[in-house]
Amino acid sequence: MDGTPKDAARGGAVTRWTRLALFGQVAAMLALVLAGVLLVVEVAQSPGMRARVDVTYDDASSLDPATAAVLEGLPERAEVDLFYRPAVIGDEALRAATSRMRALLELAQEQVPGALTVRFHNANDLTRTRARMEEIRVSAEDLSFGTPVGTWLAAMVVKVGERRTVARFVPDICFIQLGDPNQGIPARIERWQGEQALAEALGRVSGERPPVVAFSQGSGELLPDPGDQGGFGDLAAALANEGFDVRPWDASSEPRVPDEVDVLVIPGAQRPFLPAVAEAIEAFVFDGGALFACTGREQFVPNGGLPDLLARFGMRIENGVICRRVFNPTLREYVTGLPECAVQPILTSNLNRTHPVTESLVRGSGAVGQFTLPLAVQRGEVPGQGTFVDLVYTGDRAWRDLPPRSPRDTLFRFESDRETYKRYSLMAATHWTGADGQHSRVIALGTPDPISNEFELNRDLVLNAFEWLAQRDNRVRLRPRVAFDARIPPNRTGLATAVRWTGWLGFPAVCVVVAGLLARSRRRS
Amino acid sequence: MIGASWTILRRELAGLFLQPLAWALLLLAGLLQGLMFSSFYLPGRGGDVHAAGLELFGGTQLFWVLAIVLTPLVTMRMISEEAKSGVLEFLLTSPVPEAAVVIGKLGAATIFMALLWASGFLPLVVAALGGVSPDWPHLFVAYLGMVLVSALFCAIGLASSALFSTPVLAAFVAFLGNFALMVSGIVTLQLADAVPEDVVPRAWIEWVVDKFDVVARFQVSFVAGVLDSAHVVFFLAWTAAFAFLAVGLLESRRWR
Repeated sequence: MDGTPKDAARGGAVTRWTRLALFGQVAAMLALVLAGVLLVVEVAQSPGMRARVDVTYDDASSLDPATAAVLEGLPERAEVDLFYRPAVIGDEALRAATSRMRALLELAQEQVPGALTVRFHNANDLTRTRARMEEIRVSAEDLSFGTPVGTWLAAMVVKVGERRTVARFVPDICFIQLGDPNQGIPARIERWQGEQALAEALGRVSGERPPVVAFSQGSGELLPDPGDQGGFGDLAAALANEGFDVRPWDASSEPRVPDEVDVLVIPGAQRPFLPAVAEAIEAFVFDGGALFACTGREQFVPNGGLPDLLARFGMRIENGVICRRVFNPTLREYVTGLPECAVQPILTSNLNRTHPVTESLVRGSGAVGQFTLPLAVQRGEVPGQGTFVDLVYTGDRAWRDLPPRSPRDTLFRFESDRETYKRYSLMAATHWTGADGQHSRVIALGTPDPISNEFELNRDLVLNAFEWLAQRDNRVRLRPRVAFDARIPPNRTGLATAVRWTGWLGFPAVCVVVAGLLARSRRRS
Repeated sequence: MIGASWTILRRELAGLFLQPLAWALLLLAGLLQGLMFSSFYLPGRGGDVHAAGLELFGGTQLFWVLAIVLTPLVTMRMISEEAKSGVLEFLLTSPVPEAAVVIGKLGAATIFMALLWASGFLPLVVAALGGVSPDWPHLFVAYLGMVLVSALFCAIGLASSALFSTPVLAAFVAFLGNFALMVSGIVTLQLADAVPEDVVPRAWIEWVVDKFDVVARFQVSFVAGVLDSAHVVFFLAWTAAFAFLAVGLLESRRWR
């Protein structure tokens, strides 16, 4: 009789202390079991011990190998913040897109454990969301995008270390067809590329060092100081937000473009370049550097100015604002000679459909913005038999407005005797490979207006241009998946009815029959 | 012990299917699932039998509602009722280890639930016979996940049944346990949002949640059609832990 349970079972005496000791024993055992479970679960999900088999059709529940490789190659754990604010119109599609992105991020966490920390934010809850937005230095504007039915806030911020980038739901992650609420047609996701957007965003922020963007100074350029020139200050801030290292380059104090610079920006130059400066820029570009230049009517300096410099890189800038006809609803005809003729609205039909700079905007399907008083950026002789690409162009009924013959002549009026209608390029890119294998890239904009006055409208276009120039477009080509489709064809109404009724009553009928048989056999026995 | 477990499993299964309660549960759950499938899932998915089937196989909250409600009803009588009627005393004084008793009862309850979940295959088989096949491997993996979740909830139910002598109380406590386990992940993460990072690092909270979050594990793995050893081990480990608890509580009945 020592008070053990066996003794108790045999009817032995169990004291209070024995019970206490037994409870202690059980408690200790429970603690040990809990620890054991945690240990087993932890060990089971360690990379070496884990086996994962995706049995779905076409590996629908696995990341593409290219995305998985990007996640596995991250230098440190990436932080992903998903922001979403319900929209008044079209929210069903935006919400579905957010859920889909959320599921994708969960899958990424699942498939490559330890690669991502994911946070979801409902931007309606401003107190909590703002704190996080301040922490990762994003503003509501960074996360928003314009749609025909208002501004939507839905974006993914990907951060690795101090570098971060923003992928907005439209056009980076998906394209939403808005439908028609009046006719009961709901909004829907027309095209989805969330995985590609995630892989590309991770690629942008996980490179070895941030790309350096230098704004040139000293030749009458617009200044990128915040608040000073507005748009260019915003551009510099947006580039810094995208993980670029932004700094000035003053040719008067530094004769060469510094080696670490990846992209040189010439934000309009109203004076001719000194020959040494032009040589330095040329040497920089031919050594594999990238150049982003804005010219314009006020920046058109014919001798030794930006047009001459760009000509060395295969771009011909000609004087004369590119104009278009404007429809006059009163006269019911197209007219010229109005100030509006010098404003080129840019729609998706005015964008290159295949180039990385504009492709995502074409998919976005909204207006990009407008170019005011633009000059044409025409094809010249590209070095190294490189390529010239129109990025943004006018319609076919545009003309280059030549300087007026007399001061009394109306500006922007089409003169058929000396002007012709044709399509003009307003923004173009050239790229070529040098003799030593260096890749040079140049983008020229026919007017600084899209940045200096309307940066927010043209933000995606401009930032895409910088990503391409820094060779940071990180295009990840994912294998297209085949979705599993097991729809009952509409003409098989008999099958649909059979499936529905079996679903409804099949199992209950089986239950009734089996239970009846059992009851009958019991009664007999 | 295997022989003893097998004997108890057969006895429990026979007992279960001779009870009107079991048939009532099967009938009601089957009707509810059938109603949802035929009236909501199938039309909502544009007649896609695979997508509708997947909603039936754990893709919606219906599965969780049925799982947390039905498993306590199935397990509530397994120990507490037998203790009341004296059958348990007879069982415990026989040369059958407590573990075999628990394993047998757990197996029977899990098989009962597995049968209930398998009812979802009926309309899909009809569709397949008609030439429209769902993605069977995907659905089988989802089904396996449902069975594993049910096994875990049945183990909780058995532990509760071993703890309390009143079946209704046992069922209620098991329901609370299941519910707590189900929502623990979501609630903890919500609380984590409110706690500043410097007070409790989010990584710690996520580590803890990761060890309990049955819903997330079920959704990202089984419902997604992914057979992941880590998640299978997770469910088996917790089921084993609650079964062990049930064994301990059963043992404690000798000296209570």
